Formats: sequence, structure tokens, C-alpha cells
Amino acid sequence: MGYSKNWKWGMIFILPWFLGFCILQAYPLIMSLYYSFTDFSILGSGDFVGLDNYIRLFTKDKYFIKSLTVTFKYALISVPMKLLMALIVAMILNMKLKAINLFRTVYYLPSIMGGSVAISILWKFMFMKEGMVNGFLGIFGIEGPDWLGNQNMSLITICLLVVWQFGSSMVLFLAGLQNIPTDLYEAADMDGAGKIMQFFKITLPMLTPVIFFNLIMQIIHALQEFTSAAIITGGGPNHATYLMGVKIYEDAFRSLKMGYASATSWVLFVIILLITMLIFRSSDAWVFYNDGRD
Amino acid sequence: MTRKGSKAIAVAMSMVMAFGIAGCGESAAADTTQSAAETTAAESGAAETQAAESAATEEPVTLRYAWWGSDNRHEAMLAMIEAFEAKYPNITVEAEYQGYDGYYEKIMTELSSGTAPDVMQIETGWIPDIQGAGDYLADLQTLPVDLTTLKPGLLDASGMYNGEANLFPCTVGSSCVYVNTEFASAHGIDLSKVYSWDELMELGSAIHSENEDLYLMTADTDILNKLFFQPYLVQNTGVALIDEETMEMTFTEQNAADAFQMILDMYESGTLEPFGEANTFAGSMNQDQRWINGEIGAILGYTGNAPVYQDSTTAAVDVMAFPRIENAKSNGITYAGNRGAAINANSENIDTAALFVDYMMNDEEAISILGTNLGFCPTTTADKVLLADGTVGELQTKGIELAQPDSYVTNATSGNTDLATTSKDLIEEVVYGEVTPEEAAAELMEKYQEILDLLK
Repeated sequence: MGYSKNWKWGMIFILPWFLGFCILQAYPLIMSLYYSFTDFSILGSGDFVGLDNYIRLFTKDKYFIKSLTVTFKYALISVPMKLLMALIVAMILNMKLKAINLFRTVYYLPSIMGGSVAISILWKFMFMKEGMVNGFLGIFGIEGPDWLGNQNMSLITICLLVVWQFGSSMVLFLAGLQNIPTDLYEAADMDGAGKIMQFFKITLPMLTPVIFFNLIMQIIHALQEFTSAAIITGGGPNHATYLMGVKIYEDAFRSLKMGYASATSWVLFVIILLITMLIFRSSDAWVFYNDGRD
Repeated sequence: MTRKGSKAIAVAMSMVMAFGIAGCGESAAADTTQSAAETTAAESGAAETQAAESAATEEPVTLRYAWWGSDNRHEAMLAMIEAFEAKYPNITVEAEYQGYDGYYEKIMTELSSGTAPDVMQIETGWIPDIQGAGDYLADLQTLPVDLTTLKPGLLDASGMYNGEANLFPCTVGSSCVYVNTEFASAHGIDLSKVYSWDELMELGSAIHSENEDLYLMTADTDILNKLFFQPYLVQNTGVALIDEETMEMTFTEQNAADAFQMILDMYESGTLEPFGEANTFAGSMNQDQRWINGEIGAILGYTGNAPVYQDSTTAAVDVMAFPRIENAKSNGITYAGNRGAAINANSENIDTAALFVDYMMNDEEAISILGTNLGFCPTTTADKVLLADGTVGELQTKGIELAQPDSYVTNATSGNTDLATTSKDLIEEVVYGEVTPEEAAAELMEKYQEILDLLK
């Protein structure tokens, strides 16, 4: 039984996936590239406008640069906070505690619920001026800030929601921690290294492949974030949380400029691609693989 | 199961999936052809009675009807649909209802993909977006919908676009100032007086200086645009913001700068609750904690929302006249329908959809069930039913009485979504001090012109 006899069956088996990929991913991707060169609105057929959308984006649309800046700020704040939180909790859950599996499940729950609209609405009610968080702070005589209404605070409030969803990164860190050979720690103990020294000299270097993976995934995710900003603040106040995802959505579905929104999507795609490539390039310098290469 | 059998099932499943996907496309194409033919047929204009008779005898028909609203509207609509189905047992109406958020986007996407409901609630301002891009909404003049019951001028003001009646206005109303009467008596607000914007600011400033937890008014971005910025401009001109004949703005850059300045002064004087705090309740200012607790005295709102504002606070709520500039050419607010029912031009059951709209707007039974939950319908029938049985509350009636004289007639283009987004963005920038009112006015003129050029 050779390759030539079975390839047809192979093709048939991958056909459902292949059709799904073509129709739901490849086709929209190609069409969005085409639309980005047209003035296509959702309702009307678009005319070819060449590079007009791209030129307008960089020369006339002041909210594009503002939105891009906000998105970078969001990624710069939320990704390190989320990874740090995930690592700390993973290290706690790596200890030998009673009912450890229960804790691991419980800490993962926010990641299941975190991206939902319902949780975003809950977040909004918790952090509004007269909300639960300020009510709680008020018990201790602290006057809480206007978390959502203050343009200097609102982005941080949105970031807190994503930090709370550290579960998936935490699970990966936990797996990484459990893969570190215990004899390394035993040898370090015998050599008199303290816990902090062990963390920086053993744990962190051994975790760098996981940190690398988490970093890439979380940056991509952060640069595409939409739900929290759209639901909690609607991109405001005064565009302080106007993430690229919100801008693309508003241009496409509220202003009915689908061609323009497609152009913005492609610019965002290229930015994400460049950042990802940059991180990949930098990985040679800081990611340690325990397989002979470093 | 044998290996051969497994292979056969796998092949069959793949084929089903493949044909399923292909089938969707064919069906959509067939729908388009069929609906185009039916639209043409509908244009011949069947009589209302004929439609009713045929509906009573024909094969089962299913209609889709979409609207937005709050729970009380949903309950009333479902009850009305039940009554309609009882009257026409062969017709089933599938209700698609939700809150306001995301409704516009959903309807636009559905219209674009040919999956829009047969009947849908839309705003007057959306018509240029929709009809400007194609023939998506049916002309009600060619369908068995009785438009003669509408009060004079309302169809022209709220439902017509390019000579077609695309909307049956389901509510008529205007804007007024809702006032917490306890707050008013505590701070000397004269409910019978027509305040100028400056007088309101003086009053607001005095109240806030006395107690920094109190504000005379509150507003979200949408209210700032529709009930502060736009009325202020129209009070200067007396006409709609955009002249649809020439597609030019009717106001000047100075008018716009003054309007931005007025809003800024409102915040700087402490008359309006800080923007960030108020905007947390965007879209539902009745839920503002300060309004509920009686720490805010007044809200500019729509006359149709009287029950909402009254129910949200324990104090009695009254209405007062809209503030105005000196020598105003009108009160700056419309007395018209800003929302109504439209029929999908590509509906497969366009005559039945028309029958449903006609029932909802003109049938005494339907109006009685709906009350004012859909709005205060601008028809003679609604007047007869709702005024007679006292459904239209005193607060709403008073609001309309105050607003109707001296109101102005707007048009669909003036409510364009892009224009509204532009002014809302600039209002926020002015409030946050990113641009001066003069800079905002200059930018507004430029952007409005750009949008109007595109709309031309």
C-alpha cells in the first residue's frame, strides 16, 4: 500500500477543514486586502480608489495615530502585568499544597469567563465612580478615583481586566516549572544558593522558552483587543481607550466604511507581523533551550 | 463497523458539508431573484383590503420583525404580535429584539448580506445611510399601508427620502427638560420660566458652589450632541443643520464655535456633572446614581422617555421648556418622529409585511396593546385611542405641549451618523481641553463638508 493509493483518502479527510479554511479564513483575508483599495461600504458596492485609504489613514485621520498609540500603551502595560501575575500564581500553584488541583482549576476560571461581554459589563459596574471598588475603598476612608471616566485611569482599568485573565499563561508556566529538573535545585542548594538566586539563575532561564511563547501570544492578543474597550468604555473617554480593534469596528460598522476599515486592519496586521518577527529575532539572545542550543 | 463502511460515511459527510456550503449560495441567489420579482409585483400597489383577505386565506407565512427597546417595549410588542397572529392565524411573526447597543450595526450587516428582517424598526437618520447605498427599503406608498392616518407633515418630516416613503414614524415627540421637583424647590428653579442657556449656567454654578456634590444637569455624548449642540445651532438659524437641496450647512463656523463654547462653559461652571462620570451611564442617563439620589436637578431628554425618568427617582418629576438663546429663531428642537417601522424591499412576503405594519400603526387593538411603549404614534387613530383612555401621561403631554410650538422641521441628512460622530468626537475634545472651541468649529466645518461632498 503506497502513497499513491491513499492520498485520495487523505484529501477527502482534510476536505472539511480545507473548505472551512478557504471560505472562513483565506477568502475573507484576500477580500479584505482587495476591499482596502476600494471605498466599499457595507451596503454599497465599492469603487477602486488605489492607495487612498492608506494615504488618508496616515495623513488625515488623527484618530489613527491616537488609536495606535493607545493600543501600544495597552500592550505595554497589560502584557508584562499579565505575564508577571501568571508566573507568580504558577509558582504558588507549583508548591505541594493540599487540594492543589482545585486551586489550579479555580485560578483558571477567569480565563474561561474573562473575555465575555457579561464580565466586561460586570467590570464596568464594579469600576464606575459610585461602583463596588470605590465603595470598598470608601470603607477605609479612601476616596477612589474615577476609574472609567478619567482619561488617565481608564486604560489601566481595562488592562486590569485582561491581567485578571492570566489562566492560559499560568498553565503554560506551570507546565514549564514542572519540567525543570529538580536535581538542578538540589545541586544549587548544596552549593549554598538561596531561593532568590535559584529563581534568577535556574527557574527564569529554564522558563525562557515558555516566556517567549507567552510573550508572542499575549502581544498579538493585546494588539487585537476589542471586547473590553468596546463594552466598558466604548473607546472613551476622549478616545483614551480607543484601541485599534474598536476603531476598526466603528469605521466598518458604524461609519459603514468597510474599505477604510480593511486598510486599517492590514496596517495592524503588518505591525503585528513586524513586532512578532522582531521578538523572534531577539530570542537568540535571551531564550535558553535545554537541548544543546541556546 | 467495517473499514469500507467507515470510508463511505466519511465520504458522505464530506459531501454533505461541501454541498451544504454550496447550497447556501444557491439559496441566496434564488432569494434575490424571487424577491426582486416580488418587489416589482408589489409596486403595482395592492389594496389594503385585498392584502388582508389574501393573508387570511393564503398558505402559512412567517415574517421577521426586529426592534430595539427596553423590557416594557418588548413585552408590549410581543403581546401585540400575539394579537396579530390571532387575527391572521396563517401568519407567524418571529420577534428579533434587543437593546439599542449594536442594533444599528446588526441591521446594516443584515441588509448588506440579504438576511435583513421583513420589518424593522429604524431611526430617521439612518435612512440616508441605507437608501443612499441602494434600494433596501420599500416605498410604503406602493404598499397596502394606510399613510393617511399620519398627522399632516409628519411623513415628510420623518419618513420621506428621495420621494419615497421609507418609514412609518411610530413615535412623535420632542425634547424637554425633566426636572426633579424636590431639587427644583430646594434650589429655586422656576418651572414655568423659559431659561436662557446663560441663565441655566448661572443657576448651575450657584448650586454647585453651594454644594460640590450637586449638579444642575448631566448628559452623555449623544445628549450633548443632539440636545445641546444641535439645538443651539438651530436656535441661531431656525432650520435643519443641512439644506438637502444644496447639501450645504446652514450654520456658520462662528455658530459652531459658540455652541462648543456653551458646552465647555457648562462644565467649567459646574452646571453639568463631570463628563467622565456621566458618560459611564451613556445611553441610559436615568441610571445615573446622582440623578437617582436627587443630586442632579435636571436632564435634557426626549418627551417619549417621560415614564423612564419618572420611574428612576423617588421624587416627583416635572418638565420645563427647553433653554434657548436670546432672539432664537426657533426653540431648536424638532417635533417629529425620529423612529419608525420600515419594510425590507427584498422581503419575500412584502405584502404581508405591509399588512403587519398597517396593523401595528393603524389598528385600534394594536395601539391599545402597545400604549406608548413603542412611542406616541403620530396617527389620528393613536390620538383617538391613547388620549381617550389616558395612556399618554400628563408629563409626556405637557412635554409635547411645551415643545411643539416654535419647533423646527429637520431632515434625514441632518441626522446622518457620520456627521453625528464627527460632532461628538469634537465635543469630547473640547470638553477635555484638547482643542479650543474655535479650533473645533474649524475642524467641524471641514469634516462636515467632506462628508456632505461624499453624500452628494
